[in-house]
Amino acid sequence: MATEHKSAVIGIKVDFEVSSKNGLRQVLLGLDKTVEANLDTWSIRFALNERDKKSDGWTTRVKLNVEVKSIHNNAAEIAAKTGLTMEQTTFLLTDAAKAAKAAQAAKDSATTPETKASAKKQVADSKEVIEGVFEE
Amino acid sequence: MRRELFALALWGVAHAAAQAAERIPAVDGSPDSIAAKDCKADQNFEKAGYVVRSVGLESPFSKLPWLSARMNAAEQTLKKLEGKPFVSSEVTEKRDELRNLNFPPDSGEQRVRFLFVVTRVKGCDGKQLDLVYSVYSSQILPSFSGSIESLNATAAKTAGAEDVKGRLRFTPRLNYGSAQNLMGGGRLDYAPTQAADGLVENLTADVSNSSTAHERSLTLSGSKEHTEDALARWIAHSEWQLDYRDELQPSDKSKINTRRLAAQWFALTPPLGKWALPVRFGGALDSGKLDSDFTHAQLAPDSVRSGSYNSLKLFLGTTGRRDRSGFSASYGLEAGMLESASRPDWVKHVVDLTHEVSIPTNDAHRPVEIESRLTAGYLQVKGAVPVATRFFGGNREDAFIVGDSWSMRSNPFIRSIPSGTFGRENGGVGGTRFAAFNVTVAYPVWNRPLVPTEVAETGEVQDAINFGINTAVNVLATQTLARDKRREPVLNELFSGFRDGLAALLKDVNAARAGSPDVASDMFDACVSAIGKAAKNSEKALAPPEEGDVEEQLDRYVMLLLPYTTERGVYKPGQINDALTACTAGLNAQLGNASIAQDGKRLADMLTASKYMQLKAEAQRMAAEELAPAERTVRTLFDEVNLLSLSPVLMFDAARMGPDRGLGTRYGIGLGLRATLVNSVDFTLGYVANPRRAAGDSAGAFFFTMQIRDLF
Repeated sequence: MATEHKSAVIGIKVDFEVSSKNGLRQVLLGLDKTVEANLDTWSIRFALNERDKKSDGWTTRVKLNVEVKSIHNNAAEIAAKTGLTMEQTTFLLTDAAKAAKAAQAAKDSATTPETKASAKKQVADSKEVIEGVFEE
Repeated sequence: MRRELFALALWGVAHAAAQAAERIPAVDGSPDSIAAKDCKADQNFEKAGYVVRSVGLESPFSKLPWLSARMNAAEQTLKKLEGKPFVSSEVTEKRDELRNLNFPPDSGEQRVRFLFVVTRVKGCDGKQLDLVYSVYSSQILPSFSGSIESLNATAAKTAGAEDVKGRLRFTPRLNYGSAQNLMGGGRLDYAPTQAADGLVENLTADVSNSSTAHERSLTLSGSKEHTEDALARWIAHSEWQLDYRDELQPSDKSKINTRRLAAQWFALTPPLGKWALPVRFGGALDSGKLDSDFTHAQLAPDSVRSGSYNSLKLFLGTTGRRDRSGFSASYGLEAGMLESASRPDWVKHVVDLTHEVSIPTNDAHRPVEIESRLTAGYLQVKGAVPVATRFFGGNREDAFIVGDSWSMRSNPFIRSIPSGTFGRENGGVGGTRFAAFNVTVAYPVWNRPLVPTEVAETGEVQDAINFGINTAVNVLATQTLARDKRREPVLNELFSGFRDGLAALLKDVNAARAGSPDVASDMFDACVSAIGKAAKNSEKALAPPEEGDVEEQLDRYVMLLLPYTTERGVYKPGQINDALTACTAGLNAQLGNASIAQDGKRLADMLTASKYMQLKAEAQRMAAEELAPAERTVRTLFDEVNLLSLSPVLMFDAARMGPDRGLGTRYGIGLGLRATLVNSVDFTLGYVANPRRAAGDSAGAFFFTMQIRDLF
């Protein structure tokens, strides 16, 4: 009897979008898992798109791609199995979105080396904020 | 004739098999070109020096013509990895690029879209491996997903892969019935790229012809998801159609010709009541001509051979899906009159009940499927009616409603009697009342899953589905709660209560401190500190926001003050509970002060009986209900849908027509074979015996239908 050889999953990427009922707001969340040499790497993606009317294209207000720090990987893994809680989604839609928007605005308006450096720090800080979704 | 038909049927099966062989991507269980060995995910393929032998891209819908070009282009990009050393970052980078496929296309109406990309390695042998990227996606319109019609939609439609604009789609069709003979034709659909919101979404031309019959129709249609417009409270979805139809149908040795223009609109409410069922309702105005070549001797006294007419149709019903079953109940009323009349000549009532259930077996992809349908009609003749408005039965369904979204049968369907010949007795052809019951049982004896078992059963894929569904529910619940107009006053009342309750507690604690020198000062300090933090934030929550809006401020202080459980199941008590712990459980255990105990109880009651908690639970329940059809769709696609299946089919029909001219209830008992190749071919072949025959009836009816989807 021939042996059936199985394949091995080395990566999963899930993206999902949920639009608000009025079609003017869209949340994109993604979770990636990469398996390499017994080491799982997790990352989360978050984007908030908005538009003034449904016939318009989306404008990305917030976009962050963050590789979750290893210290938080366990929390991310649990979230990957059970989904984000309502408190986490509230956090992402409010505090994290606000921090990211502010960082983006600072980045867009930065013209001098000083303001660019400040904006860079603000972007880094905003990433820390969104990573906070997996902190206890 | 039957020999030719049998040959044609065999050709159909062979064609379907050929299509299957051509279109099914080799996944699991297929022989690999090189003797493959098991791969283990925890191997370090990069460090071990593996080389990528081949790269494949799989998707259940990759052969859909409007997607194949994108998929082919993506596959070519992936193939750049072939022959190169396995580098994990490059493999991941290619996976990330697949996200840009925009597959399925954004239709603008779907509220939930998913995209899964699963990367696998196989055939690990001689330091070489095969890399496979599998793409699964779905976009879901919750209002449609809850209907019984969605059970019968193609997997591609269910997954949203058919929501494509700006291209022609052609669906050829071939049917055989002994009254209509061999009938060929097809349907041409065009969805304009630039369509005003819900106005004109589709133009459909549908033509079939045979030596004895024809069906020709031209339909303009549109639909709208009502979200937050003025109608949204009452209507979740609405559709309209403008349909011109010209049908010539044989009825024994005579023919019935219908030419009419119909303007139709119907709507679906949001789920209502305890059972969360939507109500469907609508109406149509028909105007046209009904013609026949019956002789006067064949007609009932109140019937005329032909006449121009106008009619008003009203329809009402509900539909739902529960776990593994779906049902619908529809009632239709038609009031019509001949052009010369001044009041209705006839009123027709039709009731149509359908039920479908899928009974699981050991193999999730091979459930026993039972479809049952009960249809009844009653025609009140008040003047003279064109004979075509009377009921004629047989193995062809007449639809009461235009379009695919709401299926409602309007004639006695009995598969053992040729189309249009049930109800042709002399003394008055056509019935004025009928009841028909049909059951079809199918069981796949051979199948190939849409999503390979090897992928679907991977724990990580199931986890990813859970992640998507649960997070989607919570995102929707968060948005629902934020929009809830009751939320702000409820939270303001709650925070005011906290502020006043904490002030009273602080006052009583300070009073107790003066009179309790024996109690440790640090217990008082801990209590006062906890009260201070909670009181400060309660005050801030009520003040005008310093930055951001009121909603954001409320969110922030809800998180600080109220308890919640993290995704790891860790209970976060919140600052009110912190104060209660420090002052009542800690300090007052020593003091035994009645006032402090009373203050604590009042605050604890505010927490547990909080109207806010009720609003939050309600928002989660509503979001879960809204996404339940989406969840069912995703799980069905992954766990149950077949790419290819072959099912024997058992059929039983019973129908009775009135006025009864002595034959009573008629029956049909038959066997068939159904072959389905997802997105490509539907083929059903069968014979239904007619055990109680009228004079001149045949012993039964042989039939087959073949529909080839998406020819280009």
